[in-house]
Amino acid sequence: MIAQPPAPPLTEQAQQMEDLWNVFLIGAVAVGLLVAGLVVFVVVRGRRRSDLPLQQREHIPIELAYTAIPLLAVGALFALTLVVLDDVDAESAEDSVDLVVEVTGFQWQWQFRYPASGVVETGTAEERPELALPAGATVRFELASVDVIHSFWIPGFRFKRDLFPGAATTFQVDIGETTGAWPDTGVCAEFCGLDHTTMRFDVAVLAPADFEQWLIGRGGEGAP
Amino acid sequence: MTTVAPDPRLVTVDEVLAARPHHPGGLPATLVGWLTTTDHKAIGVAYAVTSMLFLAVGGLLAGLIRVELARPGLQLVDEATYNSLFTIHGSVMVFLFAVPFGFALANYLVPLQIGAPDLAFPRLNALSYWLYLLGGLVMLGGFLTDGGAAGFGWFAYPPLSGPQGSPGLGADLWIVAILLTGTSGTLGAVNVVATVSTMRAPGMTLFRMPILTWNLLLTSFMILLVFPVLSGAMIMLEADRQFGTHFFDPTAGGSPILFQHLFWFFGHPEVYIIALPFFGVVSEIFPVFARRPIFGYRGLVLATLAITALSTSVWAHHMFVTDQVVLPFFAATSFLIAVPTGVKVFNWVATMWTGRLRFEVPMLFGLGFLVTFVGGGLTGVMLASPSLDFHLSDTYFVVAHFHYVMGGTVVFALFAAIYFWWPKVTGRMLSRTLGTIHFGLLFVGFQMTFFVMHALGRDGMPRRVADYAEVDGFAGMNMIATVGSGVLFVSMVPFGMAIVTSLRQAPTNDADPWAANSLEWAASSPPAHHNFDWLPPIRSERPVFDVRWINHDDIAAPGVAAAWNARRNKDPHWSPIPGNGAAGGDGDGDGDGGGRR
Repeated sequence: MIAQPPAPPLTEQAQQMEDLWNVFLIGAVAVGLLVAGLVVFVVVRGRRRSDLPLQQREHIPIELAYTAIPLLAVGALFALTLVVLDDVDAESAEDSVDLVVEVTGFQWQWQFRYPASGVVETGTAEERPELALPAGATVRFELASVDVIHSFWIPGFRFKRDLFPGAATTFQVDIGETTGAWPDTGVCAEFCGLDHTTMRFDVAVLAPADFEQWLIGRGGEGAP
Repeated sequence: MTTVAPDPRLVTVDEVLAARPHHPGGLPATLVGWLTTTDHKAIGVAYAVTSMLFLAVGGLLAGLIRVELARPGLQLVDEATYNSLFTIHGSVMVFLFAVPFGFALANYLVPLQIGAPDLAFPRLNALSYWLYLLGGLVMLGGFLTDGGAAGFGWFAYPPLSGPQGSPGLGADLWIVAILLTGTSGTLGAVNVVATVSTMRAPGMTLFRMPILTWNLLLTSFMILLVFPVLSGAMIMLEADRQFGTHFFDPTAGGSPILFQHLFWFFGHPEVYIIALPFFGVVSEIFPVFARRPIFGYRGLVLATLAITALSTSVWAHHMFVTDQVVLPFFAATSFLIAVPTGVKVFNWVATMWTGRLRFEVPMLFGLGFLVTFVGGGLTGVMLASPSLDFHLSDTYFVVAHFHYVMGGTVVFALFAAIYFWWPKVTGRMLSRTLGTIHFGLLFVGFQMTFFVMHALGRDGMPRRVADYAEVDGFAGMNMIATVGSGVLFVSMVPFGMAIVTSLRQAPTNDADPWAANSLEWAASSPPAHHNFDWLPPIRSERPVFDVRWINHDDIAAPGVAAAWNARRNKDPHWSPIPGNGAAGGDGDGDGDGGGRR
């Protein structure tokens, strides 16, 4: 497709949402072309005639049909949405989580804490923080804000979640096997005041061994 | 299929009016006249002109935004100014342009469409207008304060909009402005509901009302439901800022999410409050220029009722990414509201299906509306799915979506309305050539500006950013959008020329230049001060059409001719029908011009 986010789907959940997006996109393009085609058809057929057409006011079976068919279509899309939602918004038991990252948003940067290894990565106005994640791991994010509402968005996750002051939010993903670095792709998506624009971070998915090195390089204790 | 050959025995409104004493009409001629008027037509024009001026203000702010975003880096404004620009752009367009133009339509057209001499409460109506103007000036006054105008986005989420997040006076002025325009809207809605409920002409049953009047009535019900909620939220927010309360302050046990619920309980119906009047506009225009009745009138009314009812149960789809709402419920209602909306689209297409189309300027804008609206509806279905909204929320994809549904469709239908009713208001036509150029430029400019924003959002560009990195690869698409917005500005040139040239012409005062359907075309152009010199019998939703075809039993609504003739010896306002021997006409049977329509 023409529009491609800066990173491929980095999590299993992102892949599911990407597949769902493609279904919706194909459906939307199809319906859009159908209606545009109907409009072009009536415009071409209706021009250059000056007599009074049949003054038909309604046709109940046709009206019922074009009520029922869209109803079925959105019903199907709703069902697909629920199937995907069940997976992407699910959280498993504590012991099946490989890594917990505590994300704190503040005006106007991020702090990422890896509590198991003691690593703390804090952004400044001059330097973006880096969020490193191990490939293949199940990661839980615990999100909180210290001031106003922010939103933690990694386009490679196809997912964002708001950070509220005074109440933690969480989500969980299964990182895929694709490794790489996507600098400057992490975003604060909820407008949060003066320097909202610059509240960005780097994202990297590392092989497990490289992730160890990353933690140690930042004064951490390595694997939990 | 039955078709009818052109027939000289068509009756025109002008012939009927010519046989009657004429009462002068028109707008106030003096400043004092404008300041003191309670005439619904003058106030309607005041609403229209004022909201168009605010469209210009909002458009200029948008132009500054687009110039800033044309290339990466900060060139034009600093971030604080940029934040004020998009906050006031959104607020002006929603609160001071789109909703008030709906009230312009309601003011001018509802009494005319139902055969009433004015709105139910003319002085309350004047108060509504002046509160609106005052609110608009208060909001723009923010730019004159020390800290600049409000810069927290048009939905003003606390804590950012709270006393610590936005200490400036501009924020307080913004809140007061929303309270003033909200009060204005509530009073205006009371007036519309009372007028439609009690002042319909004899024969004008609910199911003979024009679709536009239906939509304005249902819009007013939605306003009565949700504007007070917004006003309540604003009072709470202002109390947090100035009186030491903590409704939305999380450090003292308050709840920021509560504000989001209150705001979007207003905010999503607001989308339909903005859109329904314009759905009504095209529902008037398509039948006239397709020479058919609106297809599925009853279905269309039911669809509008369904939208009205569902609109109050979809609000939390604006909050899918907060993790604090029941996702399946709000997804289901949001998907569901697409169905009556789709029904409307099919009704409009079906109206044209076997129509004989006339591509006058209002029809062109109507078609532009239709195509644009379908685009916005399809992305709306995508955003109804939480699984997709997690990625798309708060990005330029959403910006594109709501500029299609609240920007493009409103603007196309608005210009359709201006070109359509201008002859009624002024007694003059607008240039067809200039109007066609205007439409072409607006359509191209709009699609250029906003279509690429879908891709920008999907590719990761968040909304409300003053800058973007070169590595993002957004520069090309942003440049296309900025050039497109330039085309939008250029499109206003032929429009302005059309207005000026029209006003410099001598009026023709054609009562019914489009061979239209609804009752306002039975009044003179411009209408008399009390609106009607004469009312035709109302036996369908197309009383003027029925009079035109009164000599054709198979085309006019049943009973029209009989009702007409029955007035002969009883009604002092009875008027002979030209060319109708049975009704004692004046023998002038040429019915000139009727046949060409």
